[in-house]
Amino acid sequence: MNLNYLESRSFYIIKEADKRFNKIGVLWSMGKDSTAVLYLIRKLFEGEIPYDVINIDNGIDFPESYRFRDLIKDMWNIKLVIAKSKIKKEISGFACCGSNKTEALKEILKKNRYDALIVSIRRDEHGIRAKESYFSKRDASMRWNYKEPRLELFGNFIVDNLKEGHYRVHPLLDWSELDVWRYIKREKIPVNPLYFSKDGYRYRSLGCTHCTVPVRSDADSIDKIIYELKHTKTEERGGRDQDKEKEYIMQRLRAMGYM
Amino acid sequence: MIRAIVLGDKDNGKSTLIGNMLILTKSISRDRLKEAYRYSSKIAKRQEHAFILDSFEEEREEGFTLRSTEYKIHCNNEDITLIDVPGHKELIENMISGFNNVDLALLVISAESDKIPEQAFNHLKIARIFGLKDIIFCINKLDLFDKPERRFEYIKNLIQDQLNDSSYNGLKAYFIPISALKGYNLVKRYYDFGEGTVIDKIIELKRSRKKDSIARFVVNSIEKNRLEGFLFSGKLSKKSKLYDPYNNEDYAVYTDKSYSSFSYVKLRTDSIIKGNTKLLIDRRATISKKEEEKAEIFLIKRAARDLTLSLYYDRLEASIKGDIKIMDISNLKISKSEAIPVELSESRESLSRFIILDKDNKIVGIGRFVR
Repeated sequence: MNLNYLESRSFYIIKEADKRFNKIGVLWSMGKDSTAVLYLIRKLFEGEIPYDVINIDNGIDFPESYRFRDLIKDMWNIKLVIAKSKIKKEISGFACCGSNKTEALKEILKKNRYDALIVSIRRDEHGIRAKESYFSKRDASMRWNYKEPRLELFGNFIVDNLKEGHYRVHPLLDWSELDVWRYIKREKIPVNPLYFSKDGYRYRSLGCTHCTVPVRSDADSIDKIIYELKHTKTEERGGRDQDKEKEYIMQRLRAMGYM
Repeated sequence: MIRAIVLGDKDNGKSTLIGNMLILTKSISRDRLKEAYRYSSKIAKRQEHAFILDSFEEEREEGFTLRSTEYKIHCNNEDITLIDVPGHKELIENMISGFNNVDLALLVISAESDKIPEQAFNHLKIARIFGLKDIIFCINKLDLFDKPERRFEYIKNLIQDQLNDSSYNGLKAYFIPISALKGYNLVKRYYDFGEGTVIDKIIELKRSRKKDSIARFVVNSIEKNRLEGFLFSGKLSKKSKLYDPYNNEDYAVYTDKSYSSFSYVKLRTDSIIKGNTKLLIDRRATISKKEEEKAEIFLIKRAARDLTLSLYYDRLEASIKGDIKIMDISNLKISKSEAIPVELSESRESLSRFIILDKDNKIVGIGRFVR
């Protein structure tokens, strides 16, 4: 896809959110997509990120990710809000993401009273995410009522006045994995070093250390990643714990408020 | 880039068509396909292409599309976005929500029935309100017939008879015989009758498409003489002239470079602009600021006469005068509570269209202002 078109579209979505909501938070996983979104916001607002940047920290992310977080925080002067989540030993996979990340998010939403969260999901990641809308309502329990029609014709986003709950804003929805990498290359956006091949393996999608495994790859530069993606037949999230991508688990996770 | 919406009644094969187009153009990963087939073999006892799109549990269990979605395919050096919508009458709001910046429509009609479903014509009327002119009729399930050409001609004639109605004035219909399930005539030619393949027709229409050149800039924010917003159509060069229909003023506008349609633009005007402005537009556009405007609307349910119209660039409280038909096009008058300027134009790029909302912010219909 044309990168100028995608960038413009994302700017528009962010600006429409800026106009409509009182307190916006940006979820930042330290992965390439949410880092690209931070970059887009910064470019749009001419060097400033006017929103809280929320990182849900379960304490078991990769050391490289934490170093990357500190680097970006200082370089882009980010108002970083860390939402601590506790990992419980007895649960893993679906239950782990469902309870930990989502719970931590619920708490920070309540504490800081965000009425909108910018989340960097893309349609091409998963069939359920493909059904999302640019602005997507969540109730007080963070549930997504996907049976409700999306109201964003003409790029005219119709937003309800919420007494409780919040809106998810999805500026990257129309982008593909390849588009994101092409944009990172064009704009020279810094990315987490774990994406690049080391000893024949690289991470294509980044979760926490417990449920992310690297994929076999020799792509040690952005150009090589772009080449690899043009020829791959596998899924980006293939390196995630199988559990999460199986059955209707994504649907259930999202219904619970997962990103 | 071109965006095509796939219309038609339930079970006529919309999601199957898109699913198979994704497979045939290699636009979907092997993993995604495997996942879809694993479930369809379990639930539907066959490889169901629609399961690539229909991802919710209830969609798969019940075999219908609940929520609209879109997928991109890349073929013959063209990016094509296909938009899938629910076909059920009860889900028509969801179906309308698929009309996001759409260039043309495919209307999938199963050749199995001797009657064209009413819902197909409802979709057609809605497409017309949205300014779509090119409709590709995909006559589906022809693999079930021993004499597919005869069946194709029969269904085509049934459709053409109905298209003579004045509700469809200005529509251009193309007819393609297909089997969405088998992939006949989607990407590769299988039948030697009809108008080629679906993909070729989409690309042909894209290449012959004419856009109007009117610049339409929807304002997002204003600070004195600095504006930000979205250029919905036309072009802006470094220096252009635009008209503020809210305050009846003309401005010279400056940008850092030239922009084409669908760009987010920051611009500067030669003097301070009033904060109530929501739209800057080329002087050549037909703008009306009358208290009462003529409109064509399509209501999907009964509603009060006092309604909210959500335009591209503004919101307008209005009341409707005249005979209202439900699930059909009504020609009537709309009286506006404020002097908000509206565009009167047939063009697909125009800002003449609106969504009609009730008090609870729910879609009750769509419409457009007409001359």
